[in-house]
Formats: sequence, structure tokens, C-alpha cells
Amino acid sequence: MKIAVLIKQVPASNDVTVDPQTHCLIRENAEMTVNPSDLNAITAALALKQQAGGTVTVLTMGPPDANKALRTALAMGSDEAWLLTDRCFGGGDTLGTAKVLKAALAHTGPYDLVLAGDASSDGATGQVGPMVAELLGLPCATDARKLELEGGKLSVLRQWKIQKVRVRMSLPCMATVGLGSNQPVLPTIRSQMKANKVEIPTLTNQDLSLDTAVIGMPGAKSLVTDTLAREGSHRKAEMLTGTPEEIAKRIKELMDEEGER
Amino acid sequence: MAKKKIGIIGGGISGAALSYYLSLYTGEAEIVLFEKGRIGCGTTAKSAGTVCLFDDSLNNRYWDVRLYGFETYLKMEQEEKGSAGFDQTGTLVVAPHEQEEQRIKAGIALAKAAGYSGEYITDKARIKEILPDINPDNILGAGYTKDDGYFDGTMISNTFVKKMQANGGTVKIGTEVTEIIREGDTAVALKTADGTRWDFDVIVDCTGPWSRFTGELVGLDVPIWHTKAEAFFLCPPTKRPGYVFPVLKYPAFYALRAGENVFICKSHLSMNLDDPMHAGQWDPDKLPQTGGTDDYFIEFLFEQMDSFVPGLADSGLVSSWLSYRAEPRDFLPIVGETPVKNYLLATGYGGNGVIEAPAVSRDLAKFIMRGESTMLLEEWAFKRLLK
Ligand SMILES: Cc1cc2nc3c(=O)[nH]c(=O)nc-3n(C[C@H](O)[C@H](O)[C@H](O)COP(=O)(O)OP(=O)(O)OC[C@H]3O[C@@H](n4cnc5c(N)ncnc54)[C@H](O)[C@@H]3O)c2cc1C
Repeated sequence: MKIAVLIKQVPASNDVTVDPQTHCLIRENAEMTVNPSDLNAITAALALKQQAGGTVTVLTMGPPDANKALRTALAMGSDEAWLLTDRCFGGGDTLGTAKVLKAALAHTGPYDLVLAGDASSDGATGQVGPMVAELLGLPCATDARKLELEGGKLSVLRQWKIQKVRVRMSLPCMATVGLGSNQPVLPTIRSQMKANKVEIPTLTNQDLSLDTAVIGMPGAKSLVTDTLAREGSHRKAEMLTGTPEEIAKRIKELMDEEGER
Repeated sequence: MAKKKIGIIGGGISGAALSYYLSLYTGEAEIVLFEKGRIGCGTTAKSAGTVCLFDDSLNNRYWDVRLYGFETYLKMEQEEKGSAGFDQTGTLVVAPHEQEEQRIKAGIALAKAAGYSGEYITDKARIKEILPDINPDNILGAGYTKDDGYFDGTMISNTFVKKMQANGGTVKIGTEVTEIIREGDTAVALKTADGTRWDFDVIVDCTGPWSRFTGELVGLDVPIWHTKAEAFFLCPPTKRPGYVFPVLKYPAFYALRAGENVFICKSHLSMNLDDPMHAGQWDPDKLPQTGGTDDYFIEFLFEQMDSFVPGLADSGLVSSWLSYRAEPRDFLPIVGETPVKNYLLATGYGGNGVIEAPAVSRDLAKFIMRGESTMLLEEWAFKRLLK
């Protein structure tokens, strides 16, 4: 069974700034890491590989330093990794990203199963996975909590509002994997060291031959015009310090204030 | 008699300990401690907190400094459990070469002289009994004591500050010092980010890796560099292994338990201040909370584990962090007077601030309150670096 996992490198903490002009995240100084639910997707892929055999291939679209995320995926046990990088891929919207990913999957595939995290911790649209599925013409289940192979089909237990729904799809298919749906595999020192030495192949638009008018900044159909804080989010977190007695007193005060509201 | 007004910048273990020792001069000192974040949130929060009776971190020449630090924290912990975060795991210091063997043996003799246990073990089976993960083949022996372990620098800093407050001192957290006011060659006051002016008789800079920046505020070139301290949390293949993982010291790295994980860090002695890979002058405010470590470090770690502690070579990598140690050229702290009158330093603690802060602060407090110096202050004075 050939499994592909689409992953993204995201800033490690919430401590990122938004460019007031472009409304894009400023990533230069931020420490980057693998998007948390992508770790769940990789882990789910590795479990399926263990069950059915085959290979796990990870792909990411991003700047050259997104290699770091791919190396983490390799250290977790993935078999191969591809970096999709080209200036003309940058600045796109979710559809532009999905088009690049679809082309890369076609170039490196075919795959029996494509997985992705259900949403990224920075953009949080949850759109890219289903868009890729649509472009590939594959059935797709989102927010998967559990994935199992049953008689050549993929059985997915997915979260839908407050209930769980079971979906069975024939292969090839796609699923986006929910955050916290499994315990991500940890890379070991040994595997990470090996992964750090792997030469990661790159695909540019020379390989994928996409029309540059439909990807990247020129192809973006959606434009972020402003970013607004959610109502109520102006409330600041307060760190309570002092002796246990002082902290307890302050908690009581805060609870009383909240009660009066 | 008018109280001496003392302003302390930085609430890491340096500033916290100094504020406490000054507060012991009851009724004589008016102390204000300024910390731009929270108490013990800087380098101190990323520290391993080991204060071991014998190891290579601080030369045996400064044995009394080590012992005083250890016993201060031990008493703190006895007074209120958890207040120093003591985990008595014992320490195993490994000697791959004769040079380390000699030093460890001297350390054991000093520890025993102070009434603690300590033995130098050459029986490989016994070493493996203490730490089954180890490969004893390529070592000469190891020093072992069950009496020490590691502490929690942030807990200690908070305990010192709590005691200082109980003695009448003031702490201002979330308060950044942004200006230091000089009259001629004398520092007389400082300003905080909200524009408030505070007048002092003495100002002590305890900002560790930030000291270059605070020094600039007063026109002083504080000669410290940053060395990278890269640390990893490992999840060993066997959970709850049925033995206590001691503080483990090798010349190139050290390890200790952290809950069910193992904290592992590269030793600072292997660093060269002129090697841009390990050292430089950076901005500590840009340090990420986790991550930021260099890829080469994984390789280093693997090589070390593979040959010395194979039981950990297949550990999971849980998380990592990068931190800066503040180091003068000779890797010893800078304590006391500077060319700017009434502007003192207690910085440059490098990789030993937890060990050194109590003895240094005790002596520096006496110097500030009585003008009496000590041998330690003489050796660690700023003027040695001006030569
Ligand atoms: C990974 C690692 C392991 C270590 N292990 C050990 C060990 O096992 N044993 C040991 O003894 N030592 C160890 N050390 C060293 C020890 O942690 C440091 O020497 C010690 O914590 C330094 O304390 P400090 O108070 O000088 O600096 P910091 O803890 O960095 O405190 C400086 C404080 O100043 C504040 N500050 C800066 N600028 C301003 C301003 N303008 N206004 C107000 N506040 C300001 C900062 O917010 C910060 O809290 C280790 C260090 C690291 C990084």
C-alpha cells in the first residue's frame, strides 16, 4: 500500500506577528515545527503501513527550510520525502496550494491513500486536504479519529459535531486526521540523526509544469483584506504569582468578578 | 541611620539570591528587585540545576563555593519541602581518562571531609548496577555519591524572593529597566519602561546574558559572550526502569532525570568563545521557548550515547531547548565594582550560576553593606578583565 502524507511547517509558538500590509504571517524569526495534526497524520500512516505493508511518502510545499519538517517525518519512520519549492508557489491561497500538492502527488504517485492533518495551527482553514481530494477526484473523510483497513477498504471513524460517524471508502481515497487522535511517534536520536543526513529531493514548477497564473500570488482567488481578533479575545491572560495564599485569594477575587458579570 | 537604597536589575538566581542576602541586614537596606518577566524565567528556567558534590563544572579550587551552595539549598528544602525542588538522585561522575580520575578523587576527598558519602568505583559490574544503561568498557572508573542530585533554579529564585519580601524588600515583576541615569562617573538612578524614576545608592546588574544590553544603558562594556547551551529531553525506551537515574556526568555532556524523561545537555567546558558555531554575542530576547537547537548536536548526542550510554541511544526525542550562558573570557563570574561608581555586577555565571549564587551573593551583600571584600570577590572582580 502506498500512502502519501501532506505536511506543513508552522511557527512553533503563538508568538508570531502579522504583516500589516500583506496580512501574511511573518515567519523569519519564528522557530518552526511540524504542524501538530500532521504528526497525527504521519502516525496514522505509519500504523497502517505496519498493518498492511507498503511505504509512507511525505510531501510538503514551502521554502527550502521546510526540509526540517520532512526530516522529522523521516525520523518518525516515513520512507521518503519530497520538498515542493518554487518562488511561484509562494503567496498562494488554499486552492493554489492544493493545486501544487495535487500535481506533486500525480508526479510522485499514484498512491492508494493520501492523508493530511485536518487543519494547520497557523492558517487553520481546514480546506487544503478536501481540496486536494476534490482535484484528484478521490473520496475524502475529514477529522478522522481512527483509520483501519477492512477488506481492502478504509474504515474511518470521524468526529462530526458532537458525534462520531463511521465512513467506509474504497481505495484510493483521502482522509484528514484530527489533532490528538493518536499519540505521535517520537523520533529517536538514532533515527533523527539518520534523517538529518538524507538528501531530500525537490520538485519545482519545472517538474510540475503548472500554469503560473492559477497558483501562487497571481492565482489566488481569495485575498485576506484584514485580520481581526475574535470578540472577547482582547481579554488578557494574567499570570498569578505570589504565595499559595495570595494566589488563592486572587483566584477567589477573579471568580467573584466573573460571577458578577 | 538612613537605609541604603539598592536597586537590583534581573530576577534570575543571581538577583534573587543577592536580594535575599541583602535583606538579612535587617533595617539597613531598602531593596527593590526589578524583573522584566517573572522571577527565574530567564536562563535560570532552562538550567539543569545540578549542584553536585564532585564534578568538573566548577574547579575544586572553589570547593567552598560549591559546598556552601549545596548546603544552602539543602537547608532551604528542609525548611519547606519543594522550595528548592531537590531531587536526591545521587551523582555518577565518569572518568574516561586519568586526568578526570584525579580530579574526581580529589572531589570525593573534599566531599568526605565535609561529612558526605563518596566512593571511586572501578568495579564495572557495580557501575552498571548503579546505571544499567551505561557502557563501562571504555572508562577507567566513576565517582559516586548518593547524597546530592539536582535542584530547581526557578523554585529557588522564587523562594529567595519570598524570603526577601518577608524581610521587607520589594519586587517589581513585569518591570523592565530601560534607562540608567549617571551623574558624572556615578550611577544614581534608573528608569523603568513606564517612565518611573527610581533613585538608588547602589545599582546591581544581575541580568546574566542580558548584561551587555543593561551595561550599555550605563555606558559600560560588559565583557561577556554567549555560549550555546543545547539541551534535549529524551524518553528512554524503558519507562519506569526500576532504578533511580542519577545525575550522570561525562566530560562532554551530562544527564539527569526529569520526571519519566532524561534531560541531557552538552557540557560547557567543551566550548570555545571564538567558535561562531558555539559562541557569540546574541540577543537573548530572540531565544525561542523551545527548540532552536543545532542539527549537529543530534549527531554529537548520538555518538556520545552510542559509545557511553547505549541504553539511551534509542530514546525518543521529546523536546529540546537552546539557551545562552553568559561567559567572560575566563569562564568565571564578574562580581562587584565596575568603572562606573555605584554600578555593580553579579553576572557572567556561565554554566554554574545555581552553584555559585549563594556564596557570591553572601559575600557581595557584605561588601555592599560593610565595604568589606572577600577572597572570592577579589578573584572574580571586574578589574581582572581590564588587564
Ligand atoms: C541548559 C543549562 C543548564 C545549566 N545547568 C546548570 C547546572 O546544572 N548547575 C548550575 O549551577 N548552573 C547551571 N546552568 C547555569 C545557570 O542556569 C546560570 O548560570 C544561571 O541561571 C544564571 O542566572 P542569572 O540570574 O545570572 O541569569 P538569568 O536567569 O538569565 O536572569 C537574568 C534576568 O534578568 C532579567 N532582565 C534582563 N534584562 C532586564 C531589564 N532590562 N530589566 C529587568 N529585568 C531584566 C531577565 O528577564 C532574567 O530573568 C545551566 C544553564 C543552562 C542554560
